[in-house]
Amino acid sequence: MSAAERPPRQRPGREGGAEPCPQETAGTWSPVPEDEDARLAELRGLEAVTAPLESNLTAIAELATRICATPIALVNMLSERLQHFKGRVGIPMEALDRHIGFCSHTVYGRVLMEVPDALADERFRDDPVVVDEPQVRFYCGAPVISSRGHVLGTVCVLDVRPRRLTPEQRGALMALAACVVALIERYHYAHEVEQTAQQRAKVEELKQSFLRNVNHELRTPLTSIRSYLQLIQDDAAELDEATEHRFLAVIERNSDRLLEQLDELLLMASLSADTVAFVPEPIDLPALVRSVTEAAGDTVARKRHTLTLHAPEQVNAWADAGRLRHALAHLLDNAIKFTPDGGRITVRVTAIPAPAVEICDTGIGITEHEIEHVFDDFYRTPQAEHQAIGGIGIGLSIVKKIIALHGGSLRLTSAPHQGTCAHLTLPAPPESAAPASP
Amino acid sequence: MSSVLIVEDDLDVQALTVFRLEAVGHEVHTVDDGDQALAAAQRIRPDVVVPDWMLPGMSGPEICRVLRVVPGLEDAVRIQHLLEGAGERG
Repeated sequence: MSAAERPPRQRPGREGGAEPCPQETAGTWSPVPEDEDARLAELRGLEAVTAPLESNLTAIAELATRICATPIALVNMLSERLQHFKGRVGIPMEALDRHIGFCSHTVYGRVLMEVPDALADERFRDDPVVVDEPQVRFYCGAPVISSRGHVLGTVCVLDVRPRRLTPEQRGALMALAACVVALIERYHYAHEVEQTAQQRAKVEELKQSFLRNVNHELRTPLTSIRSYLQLIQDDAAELDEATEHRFLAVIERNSDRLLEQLDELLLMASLSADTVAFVPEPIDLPALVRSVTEAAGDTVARKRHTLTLHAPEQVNAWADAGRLRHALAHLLDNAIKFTPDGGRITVRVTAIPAPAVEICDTGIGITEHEIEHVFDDFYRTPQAEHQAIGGIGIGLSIVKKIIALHGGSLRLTSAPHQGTCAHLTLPAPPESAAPASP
Repeated sequence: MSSVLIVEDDLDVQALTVFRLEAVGHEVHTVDDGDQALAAAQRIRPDVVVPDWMLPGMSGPEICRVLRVVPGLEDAVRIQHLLEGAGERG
């Protein structure tokens, strides 16, 4: 083969990669398959390099040496920079630079490749495994081709003297390569099924606790409504007018609460289905935040919290005022709810580098592990469950979805028993948009 | 006429239960958190304790288990709150 006919070159060691490079190989080269990116993606997807299949694949290498009567046999997976000897007989090392030796040529060629005498082949005559130990003279490799048609690696046999395989031996090598694909794909799908089953179990658990919580959250106000109605209708109770009014107020408050819960559930559904109305415009962020804190005044007073608002004169943000109000009210409500009576809640609005709101409390806090999950649909922290703190577990996931609609960001920082801070950023209005009216 | 201790965190339900029981002449005491129930029961020595099922702090069933072994309270009649859904009484 002349230099002009050579397949595309790839020199090792130019790009930084995570894989260790066990052997320095300046000067060696090998062809790179045309489907290389897709091939590597499938290799990773199938976990072909990491799957714990060494004993099975070594058994296949063992069969290959017996059938072909060679001292060395490998089941080799070719990754971005290395070849991984997942099954091996007659060679101590587990990995080698991808560009050394024969296998990358078999992967490139996609068919069985036999090299009867390496010294007589100009592609391999100067190769380190030919020049140095183990001084390979003979190679025959069968490509391991996945169901999707990518060559993952090879099953190959090597010898230290020149020779040829019989047609039967070559056929057996191809058959072994097919077994390797079956083993790798079977492992992958079994693994995937296991993970799916675990996921399903988690979702099922979540569903049960969601139904329990919804039942509790909807039933409590409904129970109040029905019981107070019965009381008012009960002639024997002989209520005076003031008491009756008080009871009617309880009924009204609980109906409102029920409606709020249902609205929340519907909002969650429409946010999840991407069917929610969303109309951003330039808004006066401090004014909106102030109105949210004022609306929470009664709840704050009932829990004897101190609420402080720090806000500059004017910060313009690009937001749907109704949706943002909902999100902020929820974050504030969480701060109030998860802080023991007499706590401190600090709300801060800033303009730089982007319009932002920070809501910090001195509450029960959450652990790092829980922070990863609090934005998940239907998740409730163990404390919320244990303390019977009301909620369905969709509030924060709604908030997160609303902020994502805005193109903003939301993250929590927290330490158990010290408090939680919600950090929310929003985009500034686009240049073309009219400034917010004060 | 008995003395009754209500353990209920929903204040509307609590007020209603108080109203109903006082209307028929019982002496009613309330706490709104499971962890206060034990101390209140020891102080008041009620004839009946009515805990909600889900509560902040100790849950209703836990309160019942604990009260059953408190000296002097073994004879207090305990009724599980019946306002919660059947599904929660698993």
